[in-house]
Amino acid sequence: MSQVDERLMRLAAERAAGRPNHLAWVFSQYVSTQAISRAALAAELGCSEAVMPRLTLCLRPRSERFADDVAAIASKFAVEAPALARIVRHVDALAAMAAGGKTKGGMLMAARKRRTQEADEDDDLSV
Amino acid sequence: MASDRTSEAILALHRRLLDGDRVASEEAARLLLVPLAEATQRQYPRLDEQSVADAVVDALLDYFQEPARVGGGPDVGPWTFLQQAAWRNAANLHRGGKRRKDREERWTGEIALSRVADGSALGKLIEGEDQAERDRRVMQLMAMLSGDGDRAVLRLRLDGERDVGVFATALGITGLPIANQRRLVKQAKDRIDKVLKRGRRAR
Repeated sequence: MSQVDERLMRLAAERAAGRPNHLAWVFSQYVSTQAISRAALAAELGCSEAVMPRLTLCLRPRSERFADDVAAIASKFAVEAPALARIVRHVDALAAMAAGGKTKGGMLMAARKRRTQEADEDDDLSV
Repeated sequence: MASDRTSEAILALHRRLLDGDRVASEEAARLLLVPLAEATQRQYPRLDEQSVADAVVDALLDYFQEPARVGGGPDVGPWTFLQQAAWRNAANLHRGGKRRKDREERWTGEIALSRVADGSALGKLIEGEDQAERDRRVMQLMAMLSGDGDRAVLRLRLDGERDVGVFATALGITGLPIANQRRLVKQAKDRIDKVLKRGRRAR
């Protein structure tokens, strides 16, 4: 990659951090809430820091095709799929909590469902 | 750009983006950023490299957000669409830069002509320096000022503001009698000019 190319890619990656449809935004939220460095994030994902500008330009996984999207990104950039999935879910959950628990799916919905099952079991016991 | 092979590659990436492919954006960025920047620089040869880069990056990120916007008219493929978007952004940045420069020049001119004794110092300090140098100086001056109020006053002065009421609002002193507001605004301006003069001597 030429120097100009690299400079433009870095600028694009920085700008993408302001756009929630990009992984750059997800990673920027994650490093800020976890108070970790970019290097630590790369280590968590199992990739080198040099890969990060390119990785961040990917679009974030869609909730309806989450596993497929995570797998596609992970395979292309040789990052650890479970780590990527966990980071995206973590940021999704934080965003949902910040929005007052409104979510289309994912962790908070799962938490509600489990609570309902427990309540059902309690009901069963009480009969 | 636009050899047949490249055009095909762009179209293929465009289709993948429309299909929701999550990695196509990165590939498109790698393929398109440099040729788009070159085309935009050719179109706006006087625009600085950073503004060209900003224009191109914003055009591309907007496209990734909504690739379906391409194809609004006949014969407008992704390349033409992106080129036009980058040029539009570049034109806006160019106009914005010119507007800011005009505002500063108007302000320094007004101040130089003004009878307001405290005004001329800042005008003389800043006038005559080129845009990039002026931007850098303004950033330095902001850092040298100690309070948010003084920074707000400097910002307003650079925007050409003259109204004491506006300065008073920025300083949060609108509850005071007018005479006191005038006095405190003048004190803030004097403080700023003193810092500026000190900074200039240190250079």
